[in-house]
Amino acid sequence: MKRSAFAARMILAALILLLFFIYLAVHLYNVQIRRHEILYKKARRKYTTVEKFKGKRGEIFDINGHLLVGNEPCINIRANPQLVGDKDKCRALAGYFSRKLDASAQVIYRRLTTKKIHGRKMLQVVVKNNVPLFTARKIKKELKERGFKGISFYDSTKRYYPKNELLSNILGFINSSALKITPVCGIEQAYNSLLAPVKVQKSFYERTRTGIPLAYGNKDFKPAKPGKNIYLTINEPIQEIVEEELDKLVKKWEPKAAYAVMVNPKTGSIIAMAQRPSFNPNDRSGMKPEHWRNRIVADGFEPGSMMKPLVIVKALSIGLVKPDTKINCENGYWIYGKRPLRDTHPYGKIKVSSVIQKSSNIGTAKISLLIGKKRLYNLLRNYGFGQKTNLPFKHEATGILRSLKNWDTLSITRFPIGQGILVSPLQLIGAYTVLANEGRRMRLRIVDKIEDPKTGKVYKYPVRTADVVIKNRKYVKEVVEMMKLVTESGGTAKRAAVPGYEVAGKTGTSQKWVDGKYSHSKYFAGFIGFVPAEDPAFLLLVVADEPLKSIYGGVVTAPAFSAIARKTLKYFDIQPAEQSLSEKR
Amino acid sequence: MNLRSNKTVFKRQRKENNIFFMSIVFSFIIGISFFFVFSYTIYLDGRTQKINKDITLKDQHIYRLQREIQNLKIRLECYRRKDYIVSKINKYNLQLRTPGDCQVIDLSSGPIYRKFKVGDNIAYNQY
Repeated sequence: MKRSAFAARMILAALILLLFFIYLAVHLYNVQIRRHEILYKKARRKYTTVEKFKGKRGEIFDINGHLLVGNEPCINIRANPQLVGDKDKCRALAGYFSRKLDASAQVIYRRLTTKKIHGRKMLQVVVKNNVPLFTARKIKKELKERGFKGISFYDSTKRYYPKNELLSNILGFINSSALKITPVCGIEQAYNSLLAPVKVQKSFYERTRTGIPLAYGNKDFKPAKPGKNIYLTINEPIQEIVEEELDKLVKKWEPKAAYAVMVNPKTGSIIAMAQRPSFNPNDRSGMKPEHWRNRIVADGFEPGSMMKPLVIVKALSIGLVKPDTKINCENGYWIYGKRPLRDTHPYGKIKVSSVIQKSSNIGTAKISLLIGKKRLYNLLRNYGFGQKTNLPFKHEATGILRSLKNWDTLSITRFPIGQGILVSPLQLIGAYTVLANEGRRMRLRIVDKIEDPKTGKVYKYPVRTADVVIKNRKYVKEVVEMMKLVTESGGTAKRAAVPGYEVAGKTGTSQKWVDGKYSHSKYFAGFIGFVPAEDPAFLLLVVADEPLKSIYGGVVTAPAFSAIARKTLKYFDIQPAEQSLSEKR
Repeated sequence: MNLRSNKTVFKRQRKENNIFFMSIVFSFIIGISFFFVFSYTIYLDGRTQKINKDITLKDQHIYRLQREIQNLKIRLECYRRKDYIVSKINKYNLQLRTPGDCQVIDLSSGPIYRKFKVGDNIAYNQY
């Protein structure tokens, strides 16, 4: 009996043990097999870190590598309201931050004392974003000394334009929020796809308790790719010269707007490009849309007399006239197509060279009649009018050049004197590369090269000829000789002359088209020219929109041209004509 | 006979003892080797961790320096700005102005280079 009782007890114990083992096996199956994925993920979260690496946006430089747009390292200051302390401490902190960061103490105090929102604990509030590095460092040190707790410092970057207003309309700007960056205008918008960093990359690694990656642990590092750097063809010191002189022009003549473009006629590279009004991209608080509109790209104007040399060169090249051919300018009053055409001064029979020098409308109209409608239309198309320049800017104006079938009787006499045709400043300066570059129109370029900062690879934008407009350079030289007379005694722009250098240029004064008719009070005044005339270092266009005290290009814009040219020639170290001749001897 | 047999037994026992002793020594050596190998592994692991930590700290330092360099680059460009330079000239009343044409002499090709030797005392207003 005793033995059987013992055996029964043993069997019972064994059974209990068996059940226990069965339970363990089931539990193990649950933990190790059924819930493996969930529990593995849960555990992995404890010893791995997932980090997002955001690449930096590409920078913009001038042709010499001077930084025009960069990324300023900053600090975002955050506070944990749970750790900051009681109301007295919050008040003290808010006062301190308002003194140091020029922020509202009231706003900061309210944020620091908001311990809960919708029943949830607030673990982080913004004190201030984008605090300069040195200021943040100072604050960090002082907070530590004073024993304040619960303040965190996070690295961030801010788009910064170190030159403020300089080239701001061309560079454009971006709007950035915590979620995304929106380019608004200029190069920032046009080249956003290149400037923007390549996607935010997620990386994970196994780490120690203190957060240091384990050398032998599993890891998947994907370093973020930064955006490409852009090198413009702009030359910063010359841009400064142009902007300085444009400011003087605006101060003196008080135009509604003014702009200047300088181009290297041999390559089509834009050396400087400035406009007023302008804006400071670092402080856009009081900025209006008309300040950031890129007028040089998006606006059109009637070029007036600046069109004349472009037409006369064609007449010379096809042998219709010669420089000394005399044209009857009808004493300043001529009726064509039942409409009168006037000159500012009455001229009788004058040479073709004087037509440019004196800027005779009647003389030019008569020459264009010799050229004929079809040839004139093709010529204007070849100069690039009515078409985009292919610069990367969005909203580029094509201007207005009516198709041949829409020309009326007056078109052939008005387009060559710059009336009834709308051109953008870029189109006009592009067309003038023909005269400054022996008949070849160069394709304008503003980007010189693009660099990948990570690999160091560089893509250089090539120099391209858009069109050979005048095949024989002899005729171009003849027109250049005529244009030289414009800045000499008897010409319309003596004030554009640069002592010691030969300047080839042309003034332009055009009435603005307001409410369906030409205004008698609103004008465009312009001057375009190149120096030295024989071997141009640059081609420069200066335009004033609605100047107040005078309306003539030879008075308003010619002095600005001269001042810019003088300083630029000095910067380029181009010797005066007489000196270089004597050195050659 | 008995003596010989005892001797044989003793010899056999000694031989067995030797094997036993040898196996203990062998085990001890193996144990010691394992101990050293594991200790060395732990030591190497510790060193790897230390180097790893140093690398991370250096990386962080490089990152901070890069940010500082970037910041200084931006400052430099700000100080190069013409309006900033002009404002400082005005602030400190430095009496600086742009040189006139006659004051700028190209030393590499100008007459001054051909006529004088380095170290000659020349008054610029001669030219």
